Amino acid sequence: MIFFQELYNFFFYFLEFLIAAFAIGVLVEKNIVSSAFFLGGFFVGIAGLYMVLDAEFLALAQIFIYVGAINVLILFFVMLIDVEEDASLTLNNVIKKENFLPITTLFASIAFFGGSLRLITQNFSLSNFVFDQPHRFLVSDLSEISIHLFKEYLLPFELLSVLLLVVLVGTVYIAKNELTPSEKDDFNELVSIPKKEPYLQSKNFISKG
Amino acid sequence: MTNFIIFDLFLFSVGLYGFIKTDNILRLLMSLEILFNAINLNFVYFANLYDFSFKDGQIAVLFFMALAAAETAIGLTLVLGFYNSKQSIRIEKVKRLKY
Repeated sequence: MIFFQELYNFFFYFLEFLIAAFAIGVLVEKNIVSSAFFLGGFFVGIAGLYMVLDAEFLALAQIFIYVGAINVLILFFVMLIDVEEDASLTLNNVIKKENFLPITTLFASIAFFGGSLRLITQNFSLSNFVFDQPHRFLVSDLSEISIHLFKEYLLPFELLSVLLLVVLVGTVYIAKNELTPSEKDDFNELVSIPKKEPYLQSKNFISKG
Repeated sequence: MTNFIIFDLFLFSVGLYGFIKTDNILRLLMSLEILFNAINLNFVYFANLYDFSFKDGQIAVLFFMALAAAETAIGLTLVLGFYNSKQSIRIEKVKRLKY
């Protein structure tokens, strides 16, 4: 969507600031419900960035899947689980002997970020890519994706459905609660046919009319 | 273009830092979602740099989204199992592989 470079820049920088603020808010907030809502805002910001980057279908799919399903799932689990307070991120009493590993992790991640920065600014150049875009709006994003999805990428599509089936079965199996013996007895008593009454037993086999 | 890659790298670093230095498992899963989204953004950006009819990056993102959703579901179910057996979701309580 590069109509004007200034418009693209405006949207990009605005969204970039917003997304970065939300992403840092996920980590910094002590209250985990606020943290989950910041994550929702992060997903919406990313969807906005997809809109700028010519991926309209993906932006809507992002809102449906991430905000509508995953964020709601996270909030359900935050509701079910009693979360204790985290260790705060203040700087009082930070430099102790047992904080050696977290502090080195922080500096290592800053170094990773800084080191990759130098690599990227030295090796990438804009002249490898083409910006010539005639006849832009004759095809829609969704039709192109669906054509490719059923021609070239059909096998990953079908395998993904098998994967989702496996995940479904696995989740139900993990989350299942085992019944206690007294509950098992109650359940069997409720369901089984009593042996003392042959009238009731035969009633199940006789069909009416 | 380098501005975008720098931003993407920043998001990945934020997710990675939260993934390592967090105290409970729910925040870890949330920073895992941040990591996934940074990667998806990278794919969509590079798909955008080519011709406008190049949609392979977006299809890859569709598959990653579904995979991330499935992984989050399983991870959260395991967190529930941990909470049922240990009554706490701190990382230091996770010492054995069984929940």
